[in-house]
Amino acid sequence: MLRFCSVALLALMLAACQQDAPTDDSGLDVLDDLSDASFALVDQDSMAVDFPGDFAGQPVVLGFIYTFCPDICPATTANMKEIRRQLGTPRDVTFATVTFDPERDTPSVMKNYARIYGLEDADWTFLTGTPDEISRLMERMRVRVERSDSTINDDGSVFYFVNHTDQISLIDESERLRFSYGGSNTPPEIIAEDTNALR
Amino acid sequence: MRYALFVLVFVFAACAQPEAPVEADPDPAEVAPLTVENAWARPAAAGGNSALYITLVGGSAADTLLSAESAAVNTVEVHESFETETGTMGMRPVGMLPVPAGETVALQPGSFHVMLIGAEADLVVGERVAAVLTFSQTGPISVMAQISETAPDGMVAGDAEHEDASMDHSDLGDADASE
Repeated sequence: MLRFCSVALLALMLAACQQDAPTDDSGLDVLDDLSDASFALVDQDSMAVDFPGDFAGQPVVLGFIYTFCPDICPATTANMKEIRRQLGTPRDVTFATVTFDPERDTPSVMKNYARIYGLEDADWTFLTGTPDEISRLMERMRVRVERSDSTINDDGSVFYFVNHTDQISLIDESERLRFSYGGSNTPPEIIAEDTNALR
Repeated sequence: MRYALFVLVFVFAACAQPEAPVEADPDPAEVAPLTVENAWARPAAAGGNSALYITLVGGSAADTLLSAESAAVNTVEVHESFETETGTMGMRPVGMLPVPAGETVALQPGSFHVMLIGAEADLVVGERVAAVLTFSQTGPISVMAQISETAPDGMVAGDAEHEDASMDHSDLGDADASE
């Protein structure tokens, strides 16, 4: 009886340990289970988006940018486009880009950004939101954001840069963060391979 | 006969004179000027920003990039992306950019770039954007930059694009950047 109880307890403990273990072949750990989170965002058409809930059911390749950025962020966007191309423009993977500069990156600005990068009709979601909600999202996704070098223009508008983490994150179909990569400089074939393993 | 000998000695002496050094002006053809190569720029929506990348090939004399301008945008500044003391990446304006004689200075992603601020109209992939770079010695040089999302074939991809594909995930952590 004692042996049975020990084996049963061991099996129970093992099962509990494996509850959150990934069942795919990606080899990626679960870094954060986001399924308990809900961020009220809007897309480039000003439609409400609940993140990550609205994306549940398929992997998400999520890029972090701000459209004012001329150097790093365009490389991140180009990298994501290449990942998508290498995956064969899949319909079972969501590609999304979220800004961390919501004051300037309104839905219409995001839509223009999508257009200039040829993504207007690409089934690619561009996300923004209120400053508080975006700040909360960035904190959860471990994206550091700080304004720097602010100057005031003649018209009273504020000109500033943003210090930010350069990041693309991979989220699985169960809303779990599986990895965050250097956004602009990670070879796209690596992220494409990981994404493929989650499909 | 004595006269002929005198002439011979005179001619010999004249021929034996060491040649005086010639202080001729340098041949302009031998002075290599600063040149520019591989100009390309990121796309941008009207009102948005772009970065122009270019390779500066130093001439036979040291030169300095003093400024840049473009009618296609409201403001042009030379910027540099850099790593801060805390390990994040920052971006700052660069007042002047030296181009030493005979050396190459690459303005490339993740490093030096000409920031095009406030596009007057869309900067569309496949088109070109004009700019003028002014150097202390060479003066103004007009460039036409090809608009492309990434470095066109044969051009410098830079520090910010695509590191070694053989890295494992321990090398792939997100990088802090400042723009």
